[in-house]
Amino acid sequence: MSKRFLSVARALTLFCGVLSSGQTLLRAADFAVATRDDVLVLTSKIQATQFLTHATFGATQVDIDALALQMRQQGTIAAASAWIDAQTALPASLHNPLERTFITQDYQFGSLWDRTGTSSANYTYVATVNGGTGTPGIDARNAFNRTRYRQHAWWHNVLAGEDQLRQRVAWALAQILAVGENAVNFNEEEYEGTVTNGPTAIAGTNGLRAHSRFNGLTNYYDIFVANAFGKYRTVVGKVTYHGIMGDWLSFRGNKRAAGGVFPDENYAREVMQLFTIGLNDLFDNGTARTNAQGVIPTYDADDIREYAQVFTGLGYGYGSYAPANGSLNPNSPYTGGVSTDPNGSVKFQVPMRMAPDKHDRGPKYLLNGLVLPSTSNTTGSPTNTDVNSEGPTHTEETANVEIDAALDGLVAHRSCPPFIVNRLIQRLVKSNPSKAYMARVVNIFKNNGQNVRGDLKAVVKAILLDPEAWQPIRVVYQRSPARFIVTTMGTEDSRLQEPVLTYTRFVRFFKSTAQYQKADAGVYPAAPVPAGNIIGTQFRLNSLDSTFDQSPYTQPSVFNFYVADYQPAGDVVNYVPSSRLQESSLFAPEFQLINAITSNTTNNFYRSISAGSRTETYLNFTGAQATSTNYENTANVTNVATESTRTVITYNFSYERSLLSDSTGPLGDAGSTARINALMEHLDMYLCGGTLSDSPGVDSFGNPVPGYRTSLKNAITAEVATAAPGGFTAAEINNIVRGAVMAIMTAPSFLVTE
Amino acid sequence: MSRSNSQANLEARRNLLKLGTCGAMTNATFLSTLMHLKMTSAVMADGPSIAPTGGYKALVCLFFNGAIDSFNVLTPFGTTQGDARYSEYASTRSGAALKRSLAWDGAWTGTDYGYLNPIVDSSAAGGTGRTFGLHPRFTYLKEMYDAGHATMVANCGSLVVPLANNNDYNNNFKVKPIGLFSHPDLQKHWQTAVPTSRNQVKGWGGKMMDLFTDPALAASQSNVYSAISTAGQSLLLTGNRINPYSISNVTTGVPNGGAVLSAGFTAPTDPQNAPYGNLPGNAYDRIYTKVQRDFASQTYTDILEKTSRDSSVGARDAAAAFQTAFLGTNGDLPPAPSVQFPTTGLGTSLNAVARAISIASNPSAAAPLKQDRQIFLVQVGGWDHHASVIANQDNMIPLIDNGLKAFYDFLISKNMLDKVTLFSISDFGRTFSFNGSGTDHGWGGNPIVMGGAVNATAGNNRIWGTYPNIVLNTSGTGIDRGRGVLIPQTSSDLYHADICRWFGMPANRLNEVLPNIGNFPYQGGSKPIGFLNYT
Repeated sequence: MSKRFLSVARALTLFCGVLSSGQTLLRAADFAVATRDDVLVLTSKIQATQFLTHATFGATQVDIDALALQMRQQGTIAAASAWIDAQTALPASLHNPLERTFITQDYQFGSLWDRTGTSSANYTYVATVNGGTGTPGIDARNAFNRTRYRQHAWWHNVLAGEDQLRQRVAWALAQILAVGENAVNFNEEEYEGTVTNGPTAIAGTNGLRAHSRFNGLTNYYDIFVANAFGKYRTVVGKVTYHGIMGDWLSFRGNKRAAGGVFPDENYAREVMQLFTIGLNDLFDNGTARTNAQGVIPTYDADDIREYAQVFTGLGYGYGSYAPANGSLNPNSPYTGGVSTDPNGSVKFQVPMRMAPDKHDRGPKYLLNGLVLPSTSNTTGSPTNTDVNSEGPTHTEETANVEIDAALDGLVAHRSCPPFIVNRLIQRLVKSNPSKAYMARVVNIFKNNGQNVRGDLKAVVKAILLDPEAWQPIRVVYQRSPARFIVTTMGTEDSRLQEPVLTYTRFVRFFKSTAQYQKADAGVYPAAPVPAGNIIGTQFRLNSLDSTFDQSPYTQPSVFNFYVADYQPAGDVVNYVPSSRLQESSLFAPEFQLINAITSNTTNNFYRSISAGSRTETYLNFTGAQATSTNYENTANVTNVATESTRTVITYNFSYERSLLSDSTGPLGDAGSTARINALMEHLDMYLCGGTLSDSPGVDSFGNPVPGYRTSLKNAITAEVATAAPGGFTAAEINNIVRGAVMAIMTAPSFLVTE
Repeated sequence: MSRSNSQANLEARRNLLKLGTCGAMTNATFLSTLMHLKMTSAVMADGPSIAPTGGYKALVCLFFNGAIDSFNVLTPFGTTQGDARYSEYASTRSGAALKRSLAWDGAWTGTDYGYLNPIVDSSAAGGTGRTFGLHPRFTYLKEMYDAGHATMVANCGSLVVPLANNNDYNNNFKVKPIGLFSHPDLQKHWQTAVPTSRNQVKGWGGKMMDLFTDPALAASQSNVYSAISTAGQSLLLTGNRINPYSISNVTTGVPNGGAVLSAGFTAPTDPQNAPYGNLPGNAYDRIYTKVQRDFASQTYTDILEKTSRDSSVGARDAAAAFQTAFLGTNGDLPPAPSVQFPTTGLGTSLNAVARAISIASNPSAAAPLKQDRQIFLVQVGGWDHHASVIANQDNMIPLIDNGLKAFYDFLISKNMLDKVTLFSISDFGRTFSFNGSGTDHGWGGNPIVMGGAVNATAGNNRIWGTYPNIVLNTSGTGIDRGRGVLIPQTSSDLYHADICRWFGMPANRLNEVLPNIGNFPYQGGSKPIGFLNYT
């Protein structure tokens, strides 16, 4: 048997796992095949599409074909494994440095961040474009302008970054340890010293600090980017010490109980409920342990109070701590010493630090019998006698040891692996992982084979390579006529794709390009845009929250965009899952974002952008701020300028057009049916993994209605049939492609992945 | 079924309902039109429909998402022992306490956060005769209270059975709500009224609207207008058939997010017979429209794909129908309320609600937007004030107060104050004790009710429920679970029950939407609590 047939045998074995009871295969599309090679190629393409949908923000045809080739040469799992290894070896595309690079670029173009005057009552702006002065410049004071830079960095990295798997895992983690930008102080810019014009202003010694508060969120996000393949305990530790989390869950400045004032319980609760162990004591397979009263809560209100005592004493981490006079003011920096830091304000750039005199000194009785003794206990081992005793002040080190011990205990808790693994699988692969899938991955979380717990690289690999990540799509080869039939396992193996992932897949598949341009005196040059007006080939997109109710950094609360056990009204609620699932209910978290508004705004959005491009303009504001110091409110800003910069993103449908319009003749001729078929197979294969549904139905008049794939094909065929002699113009062909693209972006088979 | 057919059926069925011949016949007719299993089970589970009487009524639920510190919304104010003493509040709350008055406390140092607004819990109205403090920024709410059009229910929260004290709490035979003090759990409990479960997918509001709407129109348009959310998906408003319609809080135009293919899509009449060549627009809209016409009738075996399709088609058709009805026969927008609403989140949400109420309650409104009963959800988040509770509430409560005032003025201007009741819910109350900056997760809280139906007269109003003792007592006979987490002494079920009764729910059928209501003795004689007027 040739090597090639070995790999086909492997592939087919992979697809032909045993079906559990209650599972039925749903026939999706079928493809005409001529040779055995066609079967190999189509199989590998489907597998590559399926895998890259789980592991990236979207794959191009080139990506899919390249991985499919590797799969044919090495075997599916070996190629996927090698792909993961190559991805994990890539350097991380960090978001915080990119955000600040974008700001600097804008600054150097003179459009932003440029001002004279130091007091908020005396803002005046001058432009330095081409060295000129006196022209109205642009004010970045508006919060909208500041928040967009973190959006720019995120979209650019996930759309253009080579480290796709890292970005995808980071996005998953960012939805587990979730923060949102709508919090006090997260969007402030900070200036220092006497502000002058010129590039020095960006450096931090004068003017905008190099690390303003509003840059903090990307620094927080980079915890996930940098540690996407690190240890989960590391992630939880860095999150716990990050100033963003300290402010977001209000434990920065938390002080030991004194005078009837108690430590804030916010972080103590959420670090357990959301970041480590969840509400219920779990088995490794994700099911809840029970006793006579039902499910067993992992913690109660008393436990929260104990943990709240652990998370005391942390404050912003810059400056130096002087025990003699050090004190922790919840509203002030660590020691109040801003000017000592040469890099400007770094409230969110360095970890929080411990003010040991504010850290609780008593014993702490934590979960699983873990006891942190009182500082009065010199033996180091807890006794009953130190229950309410308080000893001397902690040192910075002993206080930090307590936090470390508490976090160690939570990650070591038996519920942590299944709780976190379930969420990672939901973000990467499917909404309802089976008990068996859970148990397999949880085993890797508990021990990666080298006695390391929570090794995210190993966990991610186990999630992506598990048979359950592949088995939902199966292929059957049928002879005479030779057909290649794709079937899916359906409900329990599927997941509604997050809205932002739907869009990133669209952008990446259609080989989009993006250009960031600037205007001259409010007017953009016509194409071709002169080099001097192009800041870069950058995906500097802004928030899509108003369209999708989802965009990076727009989580409304620590509970993310959706909860893990959300059930949309309707069939999902009434569905009775097979016994292989963890629970007796089916969950579909992403549907929490779908309502009568977002459904329509999303479909309208795709109708709009399928025109081939989208332009985002950035309205910036200039001039004296005469009416109020409340510059967050645009209504208070006078002299609103025309936009100064814009991102033009262009989607490329040239390949799709070429499928309809090749050199064999005009569209509309006898060869058109084959060309329409080619377009359909292309869109089905690469965007839907060959699963585009084709189940017919009956309408309310009793008329038969074709399935989605046939319906779309009929519509295109009918349109092509209207061809005038000589065929269609290029613009008309583009409109046909656009209609097909719109239909695919609305198709349940595209939106729901398996 | 075409829309005109369903419209005719609606009217026919309404008439049947009004004649009291609902029951089996309605169900039989409905069963014949069933499209999927869910509705079968739903109709079997629902009790008989309830014919609304007494004209239009609407409920507006104001959801303080994140757990508002309502012990700073309604505070002690008295000066004598046992009189909900302000001094005890001040010492227990310490840094989270508001100032009573300039004379009592002196001036604020730094920012002036104002002084409490005293309101009288009038003994003539059945209250205790004590004086309470309303938050300093609730100045309009104080006016509404004094006018007898707003009130609060003290120490109200989620319970399964009454818990008189810590001894009861520690009694394992007395069931407690699941996930106490956790935001998502308690948010669910307030909306589902089933606090023993995390898996509830229906809210008491939606279940109630199931009974008040025509079951035959479940799958079409009628429920689009009966339960409306300005906050996206809403558990409270989800019933067996009722699925809340989302509107946006735009202050001009149609608040529906735009129908799909606003330029090209036309609602299907007879999809298969429509001449394809006559479809409007460009090739892309023709292709897309054709695909959309087949879309609704296709078979999807994958439940998630089917749900995706149903959501998409439902939103498309509802937006088109809403737009048609909203614009009226002449394509005119309904007149903007004469009252100027603030442009805040709550202001714009209530503006959209006000416009929907204007249409639905208009006797000459175009069907099917006209409704006899409506329930709305508006939401304001960001109340989880573990930090800086004084400063944060000082910023946020004026937005609530101004929004409520505009809505109140709107209802008066439309002579509808008696027809609409606004009530607040929130995850839970917050700790009575202070954490150094804010307050933490508690249990009982003090929800707000506003409307002409409030059981009070001008100058003679009262606080309902039992305002807790501020001297915290964690002993077996106390209600403090520690740190001022207070066991509610009035169940949220009783609170909801008064609201449901006013809306038209018969007393003997409350358990259909509030399954645990039978566990709680009534506090108001024949009424669950008694804070609303109804017979």
